[in-house]
Amino acid sequence: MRRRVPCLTVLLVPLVCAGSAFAHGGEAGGFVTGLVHPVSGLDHIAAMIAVGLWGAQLRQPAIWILPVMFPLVMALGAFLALVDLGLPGVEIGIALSAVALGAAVLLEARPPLAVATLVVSVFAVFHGQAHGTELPGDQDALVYSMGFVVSTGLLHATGIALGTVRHLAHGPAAVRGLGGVILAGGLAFVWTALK
Amino acid sequence: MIGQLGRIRVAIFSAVAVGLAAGRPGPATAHLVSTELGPFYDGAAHPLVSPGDLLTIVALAIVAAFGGAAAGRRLVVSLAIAWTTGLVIGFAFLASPFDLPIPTAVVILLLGVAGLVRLRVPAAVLVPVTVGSGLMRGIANGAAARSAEGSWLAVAGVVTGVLIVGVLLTGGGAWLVRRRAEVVLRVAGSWIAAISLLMIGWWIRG
Repeated sequence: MRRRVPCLTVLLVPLVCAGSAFAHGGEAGGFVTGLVHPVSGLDHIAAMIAVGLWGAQLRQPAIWILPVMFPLVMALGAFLALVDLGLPGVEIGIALSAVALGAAVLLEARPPLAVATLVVSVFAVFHGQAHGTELPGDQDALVYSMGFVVSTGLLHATGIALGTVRHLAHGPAAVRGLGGVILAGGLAFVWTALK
Repeated sequence: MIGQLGRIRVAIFSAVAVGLAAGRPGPATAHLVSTELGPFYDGAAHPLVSPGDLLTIVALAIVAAFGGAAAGRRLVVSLAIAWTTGLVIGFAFLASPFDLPIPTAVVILLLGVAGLVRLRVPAAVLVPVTVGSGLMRGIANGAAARSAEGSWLAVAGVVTGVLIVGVLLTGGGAWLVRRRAEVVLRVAGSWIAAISLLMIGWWIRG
């Protein structure tokens, strides 16, 4: 380890000191657009963080399986929307996802892994249906998709990180409290969607 | 306690680090015209700034990682040869841009899913997939370089870039597997599969 430190230092210094390199500015814009899109709605943020929280409560292997299945099935939902196989009641479905996942975190629900995965996957389809078709006209689809998926994954990671507080004193209660907040928000979203 | 050789080594590394920091480079633009090596560096950076190329290499590296170091070595060699062949074909013979976005996306989707489920793809399957992918991307790169009135220097740069990126990614993948951090590769595989599924959907929509 002592021998590796000087080598690592030499490698890191140029990275810190190098100026900015702009190779392809346009594609970077598409990536950022995709990155920002999943955080454009509180209902989406709430549900995606709830997936991470619930995974953290359920521990291994759910802690990584749930946040893996959500982006993948969300992409499937988006694919279905892109080929004109839309589902009805997408906004209600998204609002209900916050309710259901928030409740799961609040109650520390511990269903079998397959059931938890199925629940997350069903709601992920609705999120994909809502988001998948919203590509700004001047953006590159591939780069936008990359930003979109990465952002979703990072939101799950945020939920997992928040869920790690369960190891602290009063941590489990704090995580369940977050679930309660998401549940309350979900009920508000449902109310708004039904109006 | 480090010996005299260790102290000398630390001193040399520190001097190099200070020298690099003191000679702080200014902003680096992408095209180094003044050095006349610009096309080479453009080409070398291309695998990193071209999403289709990068995703292809990453997806292949993930699958190869689960096959062990031997699979990684086979991947690097076969990918470099195939990509170079494709580059030469595209640059020398194709007058207009050429790309196969959907076959590329389908292959990446399948590789992503294979990575997600930690599938050990046999060499008899992975090598042909690697060669096919490398050829497709190489032809696309070569045709694009010719359309942009690039030079053989740029082509050489792309080959170098693919080789370096391939080695780094396969090495990184093998390292993660050895460190029992396969979940990182599986998560990356799922993200790659999701991205390619979106791509296919966008292409179908038109």
